[in-house]
Amino acid sequence: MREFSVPERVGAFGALAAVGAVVWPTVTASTGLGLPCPLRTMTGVPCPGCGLTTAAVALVRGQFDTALHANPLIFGLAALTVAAGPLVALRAAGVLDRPRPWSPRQRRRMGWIAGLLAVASWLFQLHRL
Amino acid sequence: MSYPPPPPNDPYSNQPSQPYGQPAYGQPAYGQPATAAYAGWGARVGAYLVDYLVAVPFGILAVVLGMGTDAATGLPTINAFYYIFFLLAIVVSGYNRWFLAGKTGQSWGRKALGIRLVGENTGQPIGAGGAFVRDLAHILDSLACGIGYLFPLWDAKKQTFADKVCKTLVVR
Repeated sequence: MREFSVPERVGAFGALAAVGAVVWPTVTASTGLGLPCPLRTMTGVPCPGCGLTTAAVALVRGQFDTALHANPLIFGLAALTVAAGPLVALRAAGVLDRPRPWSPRQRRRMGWIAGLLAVASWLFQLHRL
Repeated sequence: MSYPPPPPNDPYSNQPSQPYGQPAYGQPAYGQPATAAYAGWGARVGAYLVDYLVAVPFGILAVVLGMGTDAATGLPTINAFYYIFFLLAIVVSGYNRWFLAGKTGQSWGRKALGIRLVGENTGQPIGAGGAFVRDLAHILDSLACGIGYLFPLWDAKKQTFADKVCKTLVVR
């Protein structure tokens, strides 16, 4: 089996997260457990990933509005999740070329974009506070 | 970060589709076996779950045998079994994840999934102390909502944030 590319891997993780988001509410309903954010618990400041559990649960239930207000980043993960399936299939069928590793420059640029997205998400969470 | 130059006998190095001398995903690399040998995120999660499940029976025994209900007040009570079994869980996990994994690179979970924990620079197992410190560093992974645990999904060396701090790799 070939090595999967980063978008494919993140998409597969998104699929797992979607399954988790379906199962998770039944767990919280029966046990009263929650997923506390360590940063928020200790300092009261939300972290960039805050609201992602709420957003994932809302999105698999089709509550787009709730998901958007909890954490818009979930739509990025959802897009990769939806795209990963056809991507893997098309590459397996030979329609698309095999994925190639990115250059260090592309990796750095993507790192910056991801960092900026995290900062934007953080500002959004602070605003919500 | 610098990448090693392609070896002179690398047949891919002059092809335009391989502009940086790196192997395509999944293709065996000439002279660079290490790049293809990093353990995948799924295998690492699986290994962790196995190590976790090993400790679960002790926790169940601790709760079942070690906890009761006070007849007078109805409040939960704990007895010696509770502490004994939780201590056993820590001892077994410590032997597995720190002593065994530090000495051989493989906890039971990693052995089951066929992966190994090694030092980034040495390629050798990191010792019991190193394995213990690395598990402490996992706290950093959880701090930012667990993002550190997801690093291997996109990192070039498939390291978690703890791996980067401790300079460790998990390889196949």
